[in-house]
Amino acid sequence: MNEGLNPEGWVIMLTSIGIATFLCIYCIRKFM
Amino acid sequence: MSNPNPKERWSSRLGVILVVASCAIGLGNFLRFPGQAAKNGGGAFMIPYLVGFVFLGIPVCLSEWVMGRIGGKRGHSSRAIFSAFLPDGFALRISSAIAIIIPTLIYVYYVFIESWCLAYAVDFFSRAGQAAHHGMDIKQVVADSGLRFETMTGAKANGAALGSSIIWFLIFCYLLNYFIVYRGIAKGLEKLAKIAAPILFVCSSVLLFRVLSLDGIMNGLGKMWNPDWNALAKADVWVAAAGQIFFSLSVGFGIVLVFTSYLTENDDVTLSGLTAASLNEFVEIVFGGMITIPVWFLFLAGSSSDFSTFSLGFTALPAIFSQMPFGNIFAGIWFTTLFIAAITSSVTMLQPAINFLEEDFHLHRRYSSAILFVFTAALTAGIVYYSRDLLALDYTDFWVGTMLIYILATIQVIIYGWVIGPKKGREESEKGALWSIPKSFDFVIKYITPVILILILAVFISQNLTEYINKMSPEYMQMNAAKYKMTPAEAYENATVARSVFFVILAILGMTFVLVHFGIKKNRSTYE
Repeated sequence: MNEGLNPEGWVIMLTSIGIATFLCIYCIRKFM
Repeated sequence: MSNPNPKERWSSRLGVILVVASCAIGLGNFLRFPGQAAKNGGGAFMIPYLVGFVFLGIPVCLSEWVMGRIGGKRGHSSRAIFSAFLPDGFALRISSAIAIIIPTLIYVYYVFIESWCLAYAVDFFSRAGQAAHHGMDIKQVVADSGLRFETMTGAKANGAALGSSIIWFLIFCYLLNYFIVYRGIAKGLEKLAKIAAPILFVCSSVLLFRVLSLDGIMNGLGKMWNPDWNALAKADVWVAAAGQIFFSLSVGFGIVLVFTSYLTENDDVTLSGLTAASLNEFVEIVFGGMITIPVWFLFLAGSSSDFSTFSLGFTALPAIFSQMPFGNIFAGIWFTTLFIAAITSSVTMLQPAINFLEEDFHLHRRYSSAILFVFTAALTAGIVYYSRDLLALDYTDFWVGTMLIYILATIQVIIYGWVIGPKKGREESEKGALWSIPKSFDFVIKYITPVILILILAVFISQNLTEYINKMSPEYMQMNAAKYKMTPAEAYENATVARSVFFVILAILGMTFVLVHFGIKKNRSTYE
């Protein structure tokens, strides 16, 4: 079943990466 | 007689964050997380995963940092830290003993896995110039890769690992771990984390770019991230997500308590704890979520459906890399990444026992290290010898790396929520804080987190305990030998090994309990 990354998959992937990245940047900025 | 060792301290705030983050970032981020996600609904898994992070991961993580700093006023051994919250009695002795044996016994088998990563990395780099198995039948390549793994780790027969080159890698890893620990917290652990973290990041980034540049990678990403919403209706998926968060953050290991005990009231604990957890999540989601399953699906879809950590990391991935151009180099980078993730975790596992011997019995670093070296090496020898089906390793991981960790985390959360009290804990956390814990945290840590922890434990026990107990029965195993694809004699031997592992762990827990008792007697003045 090679359906590629569907729109829902894109949203979840980018949101998860976004949350993880945001948390890291938020913490680093707070330290500065 | 006072402690003969110089007073340890962190040399920088970055150091403590990196050491704790490096401790948490391990094989689980690169192998366990993607395997769990692919098995449990793909992208849909992220919903219970993020819920677990908010209601379980962050509360347990922050409570550990706060408790460590409070307990640090009494000392830096688990006994001293727990004595800040528990009266002199059974609870103090058993909690301290569990907190000491968890990291020590996990080290005993984790270092063996670490040596596999190093052996694979060296092997692939040494063949960097050779052509990969490009174009060969993938099923044959996977079968060869599996055979190689079994030969190297001795998974075929007890004692087989002793004749493998893995022993030399294991000895090297042992010496390296103890060398780093011997140098102390600032010069050893902190320095390693500051060097290893950037290397880990660079290696992971190289692999990520390589994977994302593969033809058809969108199909692989689809396997990892396309959601199967039906999975959310299954209780198992929620338990698996909470379990992944729990194991990934290395909470309940007894390690963070010890490291944060070196912090003073001028040091921040809240933002530091959140940062360490965030770094771990970043590595897990970005690197763990984008590398392993996408390449696995691209090359092995239809050939394998085994998502277990060892199968993915040590059988499937080497087979996949051998199919790529310059595959040996990328495989070398992959195993270097795993080795770095593993060693930065394993070195931290020795610290609680070192602190226990040095603080409670006033031993010099050279004696505490030597005692611990002999003790852990003897146990690792047992794990290495009884290597058939990696049974001794699997059993130790179940009883210590799963059951005891759940128990310790539950003890810690109950102490924080019900002994210290969430309000007092939050006030304590605000000393030196660069970020304030929201008030809603009080309700979560007191009620929601313990309930989630107990629920996961109950489901986990109902799913696994009977099988693990049955496997300790020689009669049961002989009767069901065919089911496990063994001869009755092999089944009998496996049951004996499983039973021995359980009783050895129990004996070590009992011995540590007695030692903690003497530690309390010897340091009675600190209670008065």
